[in-house]
Amino acid sequence: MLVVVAAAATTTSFLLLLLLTSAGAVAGGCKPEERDALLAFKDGIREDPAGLLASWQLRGGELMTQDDCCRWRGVRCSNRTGHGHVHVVKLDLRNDRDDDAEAAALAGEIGHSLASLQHLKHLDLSMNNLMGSTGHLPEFLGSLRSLRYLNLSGIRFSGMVPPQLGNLSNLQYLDLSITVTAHIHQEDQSMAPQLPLLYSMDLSWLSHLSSLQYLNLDGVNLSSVLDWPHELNMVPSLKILSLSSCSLQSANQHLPQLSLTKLEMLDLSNNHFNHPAEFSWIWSLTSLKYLNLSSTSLYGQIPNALGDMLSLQVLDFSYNDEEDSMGRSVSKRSNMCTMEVNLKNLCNLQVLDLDYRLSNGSITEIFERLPQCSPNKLKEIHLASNNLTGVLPNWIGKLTSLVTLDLFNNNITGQVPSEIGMLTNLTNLYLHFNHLDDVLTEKHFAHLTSLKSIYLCNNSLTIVVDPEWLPPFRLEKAYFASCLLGPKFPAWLQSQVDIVAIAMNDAGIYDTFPNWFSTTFSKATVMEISCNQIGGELPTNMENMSLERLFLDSNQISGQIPQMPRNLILLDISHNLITGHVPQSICGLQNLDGLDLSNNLLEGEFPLCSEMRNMSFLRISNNSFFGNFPSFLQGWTELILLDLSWNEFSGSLPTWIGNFSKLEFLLLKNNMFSGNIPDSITKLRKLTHLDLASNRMSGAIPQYLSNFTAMIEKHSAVNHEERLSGCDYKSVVTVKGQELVYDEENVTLVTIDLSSNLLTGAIPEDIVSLVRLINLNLSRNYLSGEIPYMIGKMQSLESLDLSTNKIHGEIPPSLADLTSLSFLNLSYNNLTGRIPSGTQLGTLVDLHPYDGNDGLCGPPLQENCSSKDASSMIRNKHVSGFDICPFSLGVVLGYIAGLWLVYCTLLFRKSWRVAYFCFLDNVYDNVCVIAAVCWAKLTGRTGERSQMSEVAWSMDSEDEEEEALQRPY
Amino acid sequence: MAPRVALLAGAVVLLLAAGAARASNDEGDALYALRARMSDPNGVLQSWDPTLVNPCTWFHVTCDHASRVVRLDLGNSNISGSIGPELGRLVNLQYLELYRNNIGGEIPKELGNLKNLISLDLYANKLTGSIPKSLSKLKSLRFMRLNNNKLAGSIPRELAKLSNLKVIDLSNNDLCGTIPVEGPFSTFPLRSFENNSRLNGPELQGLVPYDFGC
Repeated sequence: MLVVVAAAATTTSFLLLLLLTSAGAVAGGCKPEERDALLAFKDGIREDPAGLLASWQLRGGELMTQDDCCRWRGVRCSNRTGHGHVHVVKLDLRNDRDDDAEAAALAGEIGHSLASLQHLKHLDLSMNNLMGSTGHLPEFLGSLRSLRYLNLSGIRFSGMVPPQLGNLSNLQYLDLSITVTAHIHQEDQSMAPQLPLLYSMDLSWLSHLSSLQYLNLDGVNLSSVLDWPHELNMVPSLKILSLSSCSLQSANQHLPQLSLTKLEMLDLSNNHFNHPAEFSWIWSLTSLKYLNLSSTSLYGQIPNALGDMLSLQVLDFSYNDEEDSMGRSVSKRSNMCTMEVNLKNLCNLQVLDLDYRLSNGSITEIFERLPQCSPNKLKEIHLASNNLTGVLPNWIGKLTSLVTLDLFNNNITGQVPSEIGMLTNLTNLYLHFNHLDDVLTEKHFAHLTSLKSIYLCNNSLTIVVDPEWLPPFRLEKAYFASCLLGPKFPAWLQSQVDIVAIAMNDAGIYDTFPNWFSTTFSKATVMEISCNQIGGELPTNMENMSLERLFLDSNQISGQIPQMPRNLILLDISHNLITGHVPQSICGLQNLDGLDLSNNLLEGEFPLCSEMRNMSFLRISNNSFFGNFPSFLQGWTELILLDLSWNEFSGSLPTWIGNFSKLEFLLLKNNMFSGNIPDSITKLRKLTHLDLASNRMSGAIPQYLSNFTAMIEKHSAVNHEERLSGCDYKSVVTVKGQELVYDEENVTLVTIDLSSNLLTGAIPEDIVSLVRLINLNLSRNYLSGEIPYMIGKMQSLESLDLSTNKIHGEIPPSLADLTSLSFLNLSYNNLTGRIPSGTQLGTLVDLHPYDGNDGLCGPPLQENCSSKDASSMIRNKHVSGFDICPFSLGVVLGYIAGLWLVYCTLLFRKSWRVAYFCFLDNVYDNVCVIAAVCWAKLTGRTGERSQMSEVAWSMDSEDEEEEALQRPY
Repeated sequence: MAPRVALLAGAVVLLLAAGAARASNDEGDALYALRARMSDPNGVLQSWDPTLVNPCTWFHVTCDHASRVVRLDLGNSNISGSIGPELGRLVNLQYLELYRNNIGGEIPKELGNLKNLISLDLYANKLTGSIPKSLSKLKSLRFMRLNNNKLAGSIPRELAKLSNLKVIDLSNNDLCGTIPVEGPFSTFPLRSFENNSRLNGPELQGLVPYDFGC
C-alpha cells in the first residue's frame, strides 16, 4: 500500500506545485470587496473550535496592513492574475486533524459571498462540517471559473452534485469524496438505510472539464448513472480516478473507443458489480499503474488481458467480507474467481492482492505464473483464504524483493522450502491455517534479517534448532500456536527482545519458565502460552513487564500468584495447580478488565478489590474460596460475567445484586448460598444465564420475571466489540439432562437453573413471558402450586425439568404447543388428570417424564383416566397437609441431626437404607429429600470436584437416592 | 492491510481448537449441509456453527451422552427448502421432527439408513415424489407421519415389515394403488389414509393388482 500512497502523493504535489508557482509574493494588500467576501464567509461559520479563523478580523480601520486579508490564515493572494491587481487566489481551510477530526472541524455553511472571489484558483474546505442548513453542495461554486483545485472531501453533503461544476473549465483537481471506511459504510446501510448522501444521476457535466486530471467521488451515490464509463471516457485528461463505494451497478459496458489513455490510478473498490470479470472494459486500461477492484463482486475467470497490463504496479483484487459474521461463505461464493492468467510479463508489479477472491487453485501453478523478471520487483503477495492446494515451489528464493507473503487459510500441503531463508527483505510471513507438514531448522531462517512477523499456527510444523542458535531476526509478532517448539522452552527466544505479541499455545512445552522470561519479553503486550505442560511457579519480576493480555491457562503451573504486570487488561491462569490466597496486589491492576482464575487450588477469601471498576469478566469457579458474596463487587458495575460456581461461598445474596446493569451471566452454582433470591435480581435486564443450582436458596422464586428483557427480546448477534475478546464466554449448562459446554461467542443460550435448592411457593405465572428461554430447570426444590397454564407461550423452550417438587394440578394442554421441546421431566410431583397429547409430547415419552405422579392418567401411562379421577382427589388432600412450608429449616436440620447416627450407618449400606426408608410415610418424606441432597453435596465436594465425571456421578447417585426414597408411596 | 492482520491475530486465538476437531464431525457436517439447503427466515438455524467440535450445542439438535445426534426438532419453524441425502448420515438419529414447515422436494431414499429412527414426522409440508421403499429398513420406527404433503405413487408394500410401527398417517396426499393389509397395517384405521383421491382401499390379494389405479 505504501507504493500507492507514494504514487498519489507524487501526482498531488505536482498539481500543488503548479498552483503555487502562480501565487507569488503579495504586495499592497487585498481588495476590500474580497476582504468583505471573506468576512461574510466567516459569518456563515457557526463553530470554529480550533480557532482557524481567529486572524480573520478587522482591527484598526486606518491601518490597511492589519486588515490585509492576504495575511489571514489559509488565504493566499497573488498579483500575477492579470492587470497588476492583487487577488485572493487560494483559500485552504482544510481540517487536517487526523486524530479527532470533529474536535477541529468548522461548522456552518459555505456562504454565497465566496462567489466574489473570481480569481480563486485553489479552494480546499475539506473535512469540515460545512453542509449548511440545506445540506446541499452550493451551486454557486460553479461560477468560480478560475478554479483549478477544488477539494470538498469529507463534508457530508446530501442531495445532488450540482452540474454547474461543469462550468469550471480550468479544473484540474476535484475531490468530493465522503470518506467512509468499508466498515462504517456497511453499518450505515444496515442501521440507517435512508441516510441521505451526495448523489448524481448524470455525469455529463464532467465532459466540460477538459483539464481534469484528478477526480475523486468516493462515497457519492452514482447508482443511477448506468452509463458512467461513457461519461468518464469524455475526460481523456484523467490520470487519477477514484469511485470507491459509489454503488456503481456494473463495469461491463461496451466501450468501442477507450480514450482514458493517461489513466494511471483507478479505484473502483466496494462497488457491487455482479457480472463476470472478463466482460469488463477495465482490463483494456493498459496505462494503469494502480488498480483497486477490492470488494467488487466480479466473478469468474480473471481474463488474460490482465497479463498485458504491463505498467501495473499494484493490483488489489481482494474481497473483504469480514463483516459478514454469518453466512460469510455464502456471500463469498458468488464473488469468487479463478486465475489462470499469466503474469510473467508484469515486470513492474509490486503488489498482488487476491485475498478471499479465488474459489480454488494451486499455489504451485499460481507461483509459476508470477512475474519472473530480473530483478524481480514483487514486494507483496496476498493470497489468503483462497482454498489453494499444492506445495510451495523451491524457487521462491528468487523473489528477492519480497516483503510480505500472505498465504493464510488455504490448504497448502508439503514442506516449507528452505530457500525461503534467502529472502533478506521478507518482513511478514503468514503461513498459518494450512496443512504444511515439515520440520523447520536454522536453514529456513538463515538470512531472514528483516523478519518482523511470523505466523505459522495451525499447520503440522515442528521447529528444531540448536539450543545455541542465534536467529538473524528480531521478531515483533510471533504466532507459533500448535507448532511443536518443545519440549524445552525455546532458548533462542531469549534474543527476541522486541517481541510485542507471541503465541505458543499447544506447543508441546514440558518445562518451567526460563529465568530470562521477564526481561526478554519486557516489551510484549500479548502473550499466549496456554495448553502446554509448563510446571513450576509463575515467573518472578513480572510486575514491570508491559503485558496487557496474558494467557497461561491449562498448564501445570503451581505455587502462589506473584505480583502481576501492572498494565494487565486480561489475565487467564485458569486450569492450573495454583495454590494459596489471591494476593491483595491483584486489586492494584488498574486496567484489569477480565480475570479468569477458575479451576485452580486457590482458597480463602477473595481480597477486597473495590477499586477495579472496569472489570467486566470475573471467573473464579472451581476453587475453594469461601466467605459471603463479595461485598466489594458492589462497585463493579461493568460486570458482564460473574462466575463464582463450585466454591464454598455462603450467606445470602445481597439486594444490590440487581445493580449489575450489564450482567449477562450470573453463575453461582454449587456453593452454600442461602436465604431468599432477592427480588431485585429481576432488575438484571441483560441477564441471559441465571444459574443458582445446588445452593441452599429458600423462599419463593421472585415475581416479575418478565423484567428479564434479554430473555424476551430477540438478540441481535452478540456484539464482540462490547465484550472482551479473548475472554472465554463458554459456560457449562445442565440442559437436556446433560452437562453441555456452550460457546457463547456467536449464540446465546438463555437459561434459568434454580435446581437443587430449597425453594418453595408456586412457579410465577409470568415466567411464560420469557419467550427466548431455552432451558428451564427448577427440579429438586419444594415448589408447590400448578404449572403455569400458558406455558405453551415459551416457544424457544427445548429443555424443561420441573421434577421432584410438590407441583399439583393438571398438566396444561398448552405444553403440547412447545414444538422445540426435546427434553421434559415432570416426574415426582403431585400432578393429576389427563396427560396432554401432541406430536412433540409423543416423542418425549421414552424419557418417562411423568413417573412418580400417581394422579396422572391416560397415554402414555397404562392408567385409565375414568377410574383414576376419584382416587387421586383423595390422595391429594392427604398430601397437601404436609407441605414443607410450615417447617422452618432449623426444625428440619434438627430432625436430621437427631437421626444422624442411624443415618450415617445407613448411608453406607444402600440395601438397609432403602429398606429403612421404606417404612417412612409421607410425613418424613421431605426430610429425607433434604438429607439426600445434603449427602450428595457432601460426597460431591470431598472428591476432586473439577472432574466432570465426578459431577455426573454425584448427580446420578442423587437421582438414585431420590428415586429410592420416593417410590414407596 | 493492518486491520486484516489484527483480525488474523484474533482468529488464530479463536479458531485454534476448531480446525483440528472439525474433520471427524460427520454428523455436524451433515446437519450443516441441511442448513445450506434451507431458507430460514426466523433464524432458527442461526446457532448451527460448523466450527464447533460437535453439533450438540446447536439449538434444535439433541445428542446422547456419547455426543451422537439423536434428535432433530424443527417442527413449526417456518423453514423451506429440501431435505438432502446427507441426512441419511445421521445414523444415530431417533427423532426426526420436521413437521409443519414449507419443505419441498422428495423424501431422500437415504433416510432408510437411519436404522435407529423411532419417529419420522414430515407432515404438513410440500413434499413431492413417492414414499421411498428404503423406509422399510427403519426397524425401530414407531411413528410415521407423512400426511398433508403432495406425495404420489403407491404405498411401498415393504412398509408392512415395520413390526414396531404404531402410528402411520399418510392422509391428504396424492397416493394411489391399494393399502397393505399385513403386519402393523392390519391395525391402522382407515382415516390414516383418507383424502388420497386415487387410493383404492385395502389390498385385495389375488383379486386386484397392488398398485391398481396408479
